[in-house]
Amino acid sequence: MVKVMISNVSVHNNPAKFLSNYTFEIKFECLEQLTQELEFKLVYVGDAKEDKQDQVLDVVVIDAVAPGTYKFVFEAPPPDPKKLPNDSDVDVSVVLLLALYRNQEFARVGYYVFTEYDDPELRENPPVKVDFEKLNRTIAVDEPRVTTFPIVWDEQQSTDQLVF
Amino acid sequence: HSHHPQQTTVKATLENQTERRLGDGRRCIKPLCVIRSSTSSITL
Repeated sequence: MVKVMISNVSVHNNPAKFLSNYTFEIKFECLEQLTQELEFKLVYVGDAKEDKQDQVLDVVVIDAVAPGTYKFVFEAPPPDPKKLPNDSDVDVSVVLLLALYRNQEFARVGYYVFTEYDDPELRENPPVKVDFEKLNRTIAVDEPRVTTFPIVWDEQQSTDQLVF
Repeated sequence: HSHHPQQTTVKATLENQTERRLGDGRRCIKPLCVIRSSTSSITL
């Protein structure tokens, strides 16, 4: 049986400066007593073509909880511009919120992130070298891509009983 | 050399939400319980 379901994710600061922290409020339902911690990761996809450019912005842990509905705020730093590809096309990127239990990913919420200069003149004539200080980002909160994965929730559960 | 004591409250990011730093350096958040399920029993 599935033990945890993410029921809602909202973004506190959107739109925001490119270099400001990400702040997600996450609500989840725990259907059975957990024996292990939950882990949530926020990943910035620097290049859709190869995951080597992915940046893990932060990881937080939630202790094993009893059945119920919970919420928390996950604040994570922005991506490090120095680690972005030199030829990075920052117009559109993706952030992924990953949920894991016993080191297995059971849910993923992805959002497109649209980036543009705050100055209309820079939008018309963008500098050759991206000026991240002057970029704004908008997370497409209305169009999350939610994926769930079957995992082994219990130690006793055999691997051929993967549950969504 | 810095040492992070376990279970020390380091930050509050939401009203009543607290964080502590685990011994391995990870942040551990205590979530707010919105609804406590009363029908499920705890299996030990």
